[in-house]
Amino acid sequence: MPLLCIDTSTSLVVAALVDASGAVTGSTSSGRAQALLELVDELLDAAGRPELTALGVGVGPGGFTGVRIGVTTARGIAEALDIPLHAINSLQAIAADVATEHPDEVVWGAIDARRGEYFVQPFRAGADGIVVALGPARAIAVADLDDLSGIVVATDGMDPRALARTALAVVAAAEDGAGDPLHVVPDYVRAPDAEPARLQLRIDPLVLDDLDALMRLEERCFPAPWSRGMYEEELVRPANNAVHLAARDDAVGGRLLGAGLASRIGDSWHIMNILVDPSAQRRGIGARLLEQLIECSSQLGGGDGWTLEVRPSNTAAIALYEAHGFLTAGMRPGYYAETGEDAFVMWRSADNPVVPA
Amino acid sequence: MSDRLVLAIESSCDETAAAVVRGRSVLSDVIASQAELHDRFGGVVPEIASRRHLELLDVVVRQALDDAGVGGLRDLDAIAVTQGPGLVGALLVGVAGAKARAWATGLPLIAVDHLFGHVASAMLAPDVELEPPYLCLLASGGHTMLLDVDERMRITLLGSTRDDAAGEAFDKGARLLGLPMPGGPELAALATGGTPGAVTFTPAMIHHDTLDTSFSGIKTALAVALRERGRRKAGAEPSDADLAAAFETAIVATLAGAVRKLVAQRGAGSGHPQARETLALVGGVAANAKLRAAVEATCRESGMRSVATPLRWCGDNAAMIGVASAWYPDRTGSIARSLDAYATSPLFRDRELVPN
Ligand SMILES: Nc1ncnc2c1ncn2[C@@H]1O[C@H](COP(=O)(O)OP(=O)(O)OP(=O)(O)O)[C@@H](O)[C@H]1O
Ligand SMILES: [Mg+2]
Repeated sequence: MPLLCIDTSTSLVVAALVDASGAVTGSTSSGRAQALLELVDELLDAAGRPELTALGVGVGPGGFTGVRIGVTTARGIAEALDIPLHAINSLQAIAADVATEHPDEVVWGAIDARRGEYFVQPFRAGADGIVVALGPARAIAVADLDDLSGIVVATDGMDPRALARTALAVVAAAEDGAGDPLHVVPDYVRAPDAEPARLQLRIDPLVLDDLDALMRLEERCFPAPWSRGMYEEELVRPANNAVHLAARDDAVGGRLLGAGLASRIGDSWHIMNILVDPSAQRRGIGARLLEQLIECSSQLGGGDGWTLEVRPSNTAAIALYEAHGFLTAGMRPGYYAETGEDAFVMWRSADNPVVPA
Repeated sequence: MSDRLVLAIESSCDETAAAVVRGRSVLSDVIASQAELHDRFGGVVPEIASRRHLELLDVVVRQALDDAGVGGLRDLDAIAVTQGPGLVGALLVGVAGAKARAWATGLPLIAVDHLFGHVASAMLAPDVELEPPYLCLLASGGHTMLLDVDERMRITLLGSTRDDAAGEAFDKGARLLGLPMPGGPELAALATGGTPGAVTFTPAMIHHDTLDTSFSGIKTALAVALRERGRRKAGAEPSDADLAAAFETAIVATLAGAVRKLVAQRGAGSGHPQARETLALVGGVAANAKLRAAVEATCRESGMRSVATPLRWCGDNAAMIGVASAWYPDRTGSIARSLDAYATSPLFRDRELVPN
């Protein structure tokens, strides 16, 4: 049994030890999380250095760096000793005691999230004493703490005994074979504070001068890239039968972030390729390229309409095409030579009104 | 050199790395790069890097132990880790992981300075068996330094950049040219297609008696040239490749010029009481082929031996931390348990770095 539990999600460093007989000892420190192992070492010394058989760690939410130190430390110890590691909800450990004292009432665990916010989560203990979460953890403004209905527990840190009890509940509920340390990750709740760099997007013709950049882009996008020769052939097609567009970011020297190529074959336009740099995906560049390809080819005489092939596994692309009025018209078995994958054939007729997504 | 079996961990920036080394032989070497993750933000985002380090660290360590055929941590003699400089949040992941393993196994912990690691990376050059003392040019993403390394690997800072680091300059130049990150290798690749001398940028003139360098003028020259040329049009002159070539040439000339001065002051035949016979080229920018050739040529002219870090270990890696750890003392007990990371190298602050 000897089970060691640690938590560094608040400004209090907490360690608890459940020994073979089930007795709990614990200790806290207001020092930095960097000194967590000092606290743990003292705790184990006082207990006669039992051989640990399991670990529990508070995974937050809380201070990002603090939580990370706790989780990384616990994972490292579990890896070194080859023992299971269990994730403990830090908010639950904070709320647990009050919840058990007030069965059937809603009890909120709250941890200072800085920047005028608290991480909160509602819990309730049943008559059996088992504490369950009633909803996910989230960040709310300090002023909104008063509006929470139920009891709010916003202590700094938790009682080591509550941490141990919460851990024991997790261990008791764990399935056989649970406890892989690699599965224990922080619950940050908040996304990292990072704004993607602002784009200054410009769509203009893709030209032979772009070939170097285009090949780099292609390699970053696809495991089986088109060859340089294939692109060269496309780019020298007569201008009334082809549309070649580049998406460039003028915030960084006109860096090529995407490209779209369409060719007239017979009476219809074939969308040959649309590619967007992985670092700039999900920012509407593919849609802009597709819209411009359709617009430019219409000006050259749209013919019967537009067609393209797409991998059935490329659901993001299919969704994009559907949002632009393309319908699945058929299947080409084994179309992609490298993987033997089939292709969906999609079609948008010239007189098909675009259904806005 | 020590023949202890050491697991080394590095997480100072956007590479999560682990290696197992014995002396200067590298038994395993795993590097997980996050470069692509940060590209969309236009630079390394500390919180994103730290989160990724946590996800990768244990996997990378497992892999390094497996690749080296190490059955378990207990077969090791020590665990080394980068303590700083770098992003503190990122460093703390490596430091916490190393401390936990050392504590759980009773192994000694060795805290290594990242710049010291780069300086020691030249010892990984095959067939050379480089030993201190030597002079050193460290050119990386965050630092550009001319250094003296004495018999006991005590490092003294003799000159450094007054503005951008060389790697930073490469990265900024690459952005101006619209190349993805990391910019250095991309810009160098583009430059190979340029006509040498089609455009020239003058390397910075720094007063002759200092070993300091400067790169911001070269960056400005590139920005001006691009503005004058106007928006990219098919066939516009000078081409991107010509500009990249001029830019790379000017940076390499600046660095080679600094090496020439360093060697004149402290190299073989300089008459300096601590004259050194070898110069080591280290750091991420040491991967640049033109720089390697220029430094080699400069050293050859003055009868110096030059040793450059093998390409694989120029950028951030854990093998260099493992090799460097042989010069550092073991940490045990309370000092190991409470070890913290630091953001700025003592080399920068005190102009001196003693491995202790
Ligand atoms: N072939 C090359 N030519 C020029 N620069 C290069 C080349 N390869 C890598 N670089 C540059 O090297 C830098 C990365 O080096 P390194 O990983 O040593 O730096 P860092 O770890 O970020 O900084 P520091 O070590 O100073 O903290 C980047 O700026 C990159 O552009
Ligand atoms: Mg480095």
